[in-house]
Amino acid sequence: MGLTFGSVTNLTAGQYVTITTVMTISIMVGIWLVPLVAKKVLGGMINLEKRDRKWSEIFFNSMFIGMISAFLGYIFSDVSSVFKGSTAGLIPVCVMAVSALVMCLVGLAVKKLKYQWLSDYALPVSLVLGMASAIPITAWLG
Amino acid sequence: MKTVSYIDRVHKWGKVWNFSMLGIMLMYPVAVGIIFKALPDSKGLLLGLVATAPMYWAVGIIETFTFIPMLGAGGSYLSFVAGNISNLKLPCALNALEQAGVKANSEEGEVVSTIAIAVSSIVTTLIIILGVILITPLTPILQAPVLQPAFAQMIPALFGGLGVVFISKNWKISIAPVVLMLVLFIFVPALNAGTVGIMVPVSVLFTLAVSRLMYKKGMLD
Repeated sequence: MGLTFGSVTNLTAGQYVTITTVMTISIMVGIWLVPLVAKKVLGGMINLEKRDRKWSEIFFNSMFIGMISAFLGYIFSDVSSVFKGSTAGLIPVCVMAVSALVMCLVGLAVKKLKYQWLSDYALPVSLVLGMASAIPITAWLG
Repeated sequence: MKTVSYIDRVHKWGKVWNFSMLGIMLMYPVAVGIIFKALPDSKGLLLGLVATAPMYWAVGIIETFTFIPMLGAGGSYLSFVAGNISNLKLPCALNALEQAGVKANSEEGEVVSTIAIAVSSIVTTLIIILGVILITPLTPILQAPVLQPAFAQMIPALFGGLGVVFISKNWKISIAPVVLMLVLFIFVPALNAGTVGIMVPVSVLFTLAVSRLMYKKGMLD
């Protein structure tokens, strides 16, 4: 098409239509695949539960843990920058630790102080305080 | 009169709405072509599809089979149209299931997950509308240098809280995937924010394999 990645200043209408067509076709897999396979996949899950209830429960927990593990790994992806003298890679790790600590404190308040209403807000509170902690942590390590 | 179950209705209307959305999305390049009186270049189209489609389709297919069991029927139909599944819709569904005290594979879990994802989508849309309306007064606040670190660290703040809840309840099955992902992300430079979406299905499959092994050996009793 005569375009060089990262150095496009002007697009023709034809080039723009080509790009939007390519991206539209490429990104919409889930939209057409879910209606075709969702019933079968979820039917398989129901059969799995009928065959072995305990394994079915472990199966679902494993899926959630797998997803969370990938993001926890990502949070540590810049940690190796410490060996090059930069502490910026520790910022997401510290923010994650603050958020986890807040979640533990909220959990303790719910259990020990019987603040049941607080459990509904545990995740938003840990999210907001974790994000807020990023401001001083970045000033410190950034 | 034949009674149709809730789940059958979800599948029926899910198919109707998803295929309708498919049509609407395909209309975008068509509409742009009509407005600008331009056709896609056939050679560019072919080269572009060969370069991008295999990667997007491979990830899309794996994500579909990975996320459907976690999201449930209603949640899947909604999420794959709205997007932002692993960093927004799924955490919302997970937290709602946890708060409601129901399991993902139960009927109650199906309803709770669908409501959580629907509310998340509605709130996102409302915030986007508010953002568009208030873009002028909000821009100096949102672009304030002092707030930028907070916006940049949303994922660690979200998964710190979420992780502590789920890992503490399932610590035995968490050790292997957490260690593997830490090692991979720390020592493989190619793994970063752009590839975390690809690593979710990898991590899920690895966790399932390890859990199955532990279950068979009686380590999860």
